[in-house]
Amino acid sequence: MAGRRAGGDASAARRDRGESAPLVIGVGNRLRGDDAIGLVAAERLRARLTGLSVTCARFLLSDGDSPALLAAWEGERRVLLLDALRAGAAPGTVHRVEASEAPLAARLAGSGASTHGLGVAAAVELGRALGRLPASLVIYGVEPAAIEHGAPLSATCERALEPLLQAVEEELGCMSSASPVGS
Amino acid sequence: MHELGVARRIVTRAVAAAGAAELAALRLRLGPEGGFEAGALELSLRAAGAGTPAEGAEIEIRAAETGGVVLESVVVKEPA
Repeated sequence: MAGRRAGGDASAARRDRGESAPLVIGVGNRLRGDDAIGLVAAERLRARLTGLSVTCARFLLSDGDSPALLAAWEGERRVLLLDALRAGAAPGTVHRVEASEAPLAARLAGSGASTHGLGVAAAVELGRALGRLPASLVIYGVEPAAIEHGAPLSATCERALEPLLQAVEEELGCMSSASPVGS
Repeated sequence: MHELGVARRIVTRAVAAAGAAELAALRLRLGPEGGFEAGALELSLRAAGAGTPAEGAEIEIRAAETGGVVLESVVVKEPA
């Protein structure tokens, strides 16, 4: 099908250039409501893309620990990081931030932004200072509705998953057959 | 058709992001891994937008060196 062909073209071209598939890192805490969205999104995306005959992305799950993130993207050229992100927008809003291009805005790097302490923002700015950022690091962040301990993913963030996964698939150049293309 | 399928997804998300407002412009980035030409994507977006609040919106597609398709921003029309 067409979606497989597009993914195959992208992957074949990458192989020709001797590059590995982009790394997708899902960040979150499964025990704190919408703080789990990065983990859930990465798992669902992996499941959706598993049916394709080509490798569109590699996947990693993280609790947001800064040193572990720095180690995870060491030597990577292209990283997409999925996370919960507070930026003052309506809950469920999907943000896209090119972290490799410019320092994270104060509103994103401030203490209220990251839902798991300063893990991701600290890793990004430390990586920038040390020259250890991937050439392309894109953060997809979903504005959480609630991050209470022990709560499940909110209905608002559950609804944000599909648009998030679509956007990431399109950025990867890989369309899963599971997504409602052409419907 | 692949372009049209992607275009429909993008228009649906852009319209949802704009709430009830009509769209003035869609700004996208297209890299080599998108797997199609900018002209074909633009035509597909116009076709997908017909009959929606995105109909007639300006479509800007910027070429990128890496990656696939990214909907970077949506501009809504000011209420008349």
